Amino acid sequence: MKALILAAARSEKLTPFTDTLPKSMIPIAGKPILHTVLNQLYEAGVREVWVVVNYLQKAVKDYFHYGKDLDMKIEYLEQKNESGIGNAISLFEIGLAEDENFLLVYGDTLMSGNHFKHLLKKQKRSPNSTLATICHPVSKGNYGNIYLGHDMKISKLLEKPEGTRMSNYIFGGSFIFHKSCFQKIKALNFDIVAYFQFLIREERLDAALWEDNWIDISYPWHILAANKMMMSRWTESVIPSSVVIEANVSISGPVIISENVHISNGTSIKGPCYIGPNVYIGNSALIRKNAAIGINSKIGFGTEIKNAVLFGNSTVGRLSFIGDSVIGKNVKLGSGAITVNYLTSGKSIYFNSQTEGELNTELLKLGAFIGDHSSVGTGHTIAPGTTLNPDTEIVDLITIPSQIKS
Amino acid sequence: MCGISAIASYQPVAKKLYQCLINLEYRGYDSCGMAIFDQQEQQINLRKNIGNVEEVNAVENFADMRGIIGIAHTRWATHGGVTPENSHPHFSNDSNFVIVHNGIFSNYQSIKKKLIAEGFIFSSDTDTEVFANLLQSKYQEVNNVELAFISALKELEGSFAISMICTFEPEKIYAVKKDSPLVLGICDGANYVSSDINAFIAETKDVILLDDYEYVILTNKQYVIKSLADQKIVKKNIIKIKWDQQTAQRGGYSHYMLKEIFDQPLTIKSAMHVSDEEIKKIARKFIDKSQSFLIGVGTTYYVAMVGTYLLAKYAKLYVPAISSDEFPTLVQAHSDQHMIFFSQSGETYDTRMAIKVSQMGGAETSAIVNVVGSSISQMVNDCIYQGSGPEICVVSTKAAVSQMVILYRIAMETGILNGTLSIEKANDIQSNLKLLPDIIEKLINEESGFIRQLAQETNQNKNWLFMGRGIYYPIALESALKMKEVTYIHAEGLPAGFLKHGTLAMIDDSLYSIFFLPANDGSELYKTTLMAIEEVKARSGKVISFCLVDDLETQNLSDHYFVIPDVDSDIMPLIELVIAQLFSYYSALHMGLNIDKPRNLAKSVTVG
Repeated sequence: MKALILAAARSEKLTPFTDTLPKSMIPIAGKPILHTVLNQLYEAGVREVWVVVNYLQKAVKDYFHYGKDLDMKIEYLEQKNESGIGNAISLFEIGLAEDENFLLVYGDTLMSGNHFKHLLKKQKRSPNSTLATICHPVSKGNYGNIYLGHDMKISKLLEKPEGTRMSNYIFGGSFIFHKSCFQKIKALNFDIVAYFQFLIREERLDAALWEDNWIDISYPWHILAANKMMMSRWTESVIPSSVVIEANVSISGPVIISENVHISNGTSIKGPCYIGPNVYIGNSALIRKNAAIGINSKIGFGTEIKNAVLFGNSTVGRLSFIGDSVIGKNVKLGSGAITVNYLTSGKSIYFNSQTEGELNTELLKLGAFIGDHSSVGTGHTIAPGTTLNPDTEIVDLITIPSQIKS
Repeated sequence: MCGISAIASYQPVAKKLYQCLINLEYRGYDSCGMAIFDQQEQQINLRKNIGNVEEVNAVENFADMRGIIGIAHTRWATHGGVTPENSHPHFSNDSNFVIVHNGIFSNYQSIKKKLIAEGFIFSSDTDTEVFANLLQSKYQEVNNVELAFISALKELEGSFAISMICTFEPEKIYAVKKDSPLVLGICDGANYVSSDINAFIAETKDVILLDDYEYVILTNKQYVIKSLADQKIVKKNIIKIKWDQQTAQRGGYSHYMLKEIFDQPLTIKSAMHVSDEEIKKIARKFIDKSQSFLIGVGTTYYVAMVGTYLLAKYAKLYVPAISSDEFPTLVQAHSDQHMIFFSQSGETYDTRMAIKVSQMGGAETSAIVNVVGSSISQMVNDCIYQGSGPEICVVSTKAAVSQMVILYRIAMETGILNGTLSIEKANDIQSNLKLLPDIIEKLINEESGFIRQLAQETNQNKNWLFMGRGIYYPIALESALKMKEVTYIHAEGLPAGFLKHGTLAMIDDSLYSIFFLPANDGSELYKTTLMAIEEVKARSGKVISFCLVDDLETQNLSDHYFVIPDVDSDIMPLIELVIAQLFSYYSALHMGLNIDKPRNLAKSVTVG
């Protein structure tokens, strides 16, 4: 079965990272989200994929090309002017033969296990039905609610549950549609919710229930939660022969270390951790618990990195601490840079969103979000929940200027 | 507890036998195996190993076994440990006979000694292998498979359902039953034998129920049923099964337990469709006999307890509930008694024993059972089939609620018969019961989110008290049992009035108590339960309660609460039970446990 992946949206809530990268390309546990989605599709038997792109689409195309490395055939559809899911789906009409079903996938939703397999298995048993993966909402937020019958037929879709009603099932971002959907979606003015309501009312929409963990990555701190979720499923370590491990290095727990990594004397790595290709780790560093260090990064002597995602090509100077933080590409952090990751009051940390104002993250530990190409000079301590936009430059914190006369 | 299957067909049977194993896996899942007669090699091939069906298949690859006649078995160990040797099927020493068996041969030790003296060698610790070798020994004497089969069976005591194939008559399956279930499935081109209709329901809905001491010889074309005593042919009717396989599959649900909870609106409707005549017939017995008992074990004991409260309420009769295992100790059965038994599977060992004791004393017996053709349904004088469809999850949900609904109807009917319940009031309750399916469907869809959230928040809790008064007491007991079964966490059910007579000493801020109580209707039941809540609160215990959305009085006393819909008080206990089922389900889900097959438990306990 062919799959259509929607990966055109920008997702401004994820700023500063989506200023320079489409959401689907954010690396989680060492791989862009879309890469994990494609891997899961491959495992479920899908070989032909069409990806709807728009915003910063070059990043997607440069990474995946036409899918050769993944043993898949990838085609791109560009969603130029109109936005919205209904419109994106309609672009795919050219890709399908008469009477063909297809798998519709939201390219920015990350499930810890392979829900595609589950959905396709259900499809096998009832080949003519329109299907939707449903799952539990991850937070108490005001999601829609899906009503289920005993036979897994969706009987009702409430967009906004009344009052204090909390939803139990919501759409999990993968569907199986029939080609006949295009005409109807067009007739409904590309309104996808109207299409769902039509299916429930006039035809039939069946559910495949997925009760495993998943994460909807909406805000920057969700990157850390997703990274942790994916790593928590690791059971094995990978250390290629090109990796240099000097004396007195200790490695425990599941770690995935890529080609040509250099780990210097006295360093400890406590998994789960990911270390990307060509990363250099200096002496006596401590890399622990859900740290993901992207390609070509350099970590200085005595630096601790914990529960953090570094996109790659970054330098972290000596004696620094990066915890509960997300660091974009090509970032330079001077020696002694500290991301303070909790409040002495013990209260939960607020995040200052550029679009929504102050948001309570409900997290007791949270460090900083540093956009691409930023540099933070030596000696800075960065407050919990701080965001630095891309290309921010903060000079060294120097207490003794160079020219002091006695 | 084991599941057996056999197929005689025109076509290769391996794949279908594998499907039978999958469908019967709920009956046991510690090991399984398959034996198929290979015509080309003129021999029986056997593959078996330990693990659940999928695991064994990964190693043994059942699908590539050749042949059109075969037997299969999924095991839940009773005699001998879980080892490849002890798994079924079992060969005779010369590999000419191969057997699958569900049940226990009680006198197998002495026969085994005799056979060893004859030179037979045993590779397993099972009672079944004794039968295989006894067959071989008898065949050597009489040179006739049927005669050998009968004379071997005559030497063995105990309970059994057996299927056998042999190289001497490779087109035939021999099967026999005593005290263990066995059904035949009849269709064009293939005939089936199995412990349960579920095994072959996708292939045929034409079923024959074997009675004790009957055996069948079947080929792919025909079947002959005979009596073990005199080898006379017995004529049996074909029964048409109404449900289809759809109800036996998970259909996209992640667990059978959740599917079966979602099934409840349907199964309650089936319980409401049980004919008035059947209900009346049983109700009449409560009046006619001077003494009655309600008997079940595990979940069905709590079902029986609900019955005690319902009969007290609607018919002003005190009918004690007794746990099947304690029944023989407590009751001297006589002919002026009526016993009503509850069992989902209809195979429960303790309950079967209680029926035997009752019948020996000459008591009148009835049963409410889910599985058609099960042992209990055939033992009692009158049996009501609740029609809930197969319940696969080891933990009972829909079957229990349906039995309670049938008890509502029986209690009301009894009340009408003895003049303690007016027809108007009965009609009232009846129409409320009819609303139940819709109310439960709405509840499942609208409250599950909260229930799941609360299950997540209380997931670290290691001790639970489940309390209620009146009819809410057995509801609390049943809910506590659900919690124990799926989460392996200690949950104690007790009457709320009992609290201050001891258990209150346990209360501190680490202990959670769930209170089952009616809506705030100013009733005595509500007030007295609220007093118990206050007792717990005063010792800083954590309280979870059930209350209406605007019942601030209860809410203020509770750390958490489940919102109950504003329905008639008669049906509220069932609503709270469904909420408790979901609460246990989501607690176990969050802990990542094997919900449908909890450790150490089997679906129906057919051993003592």
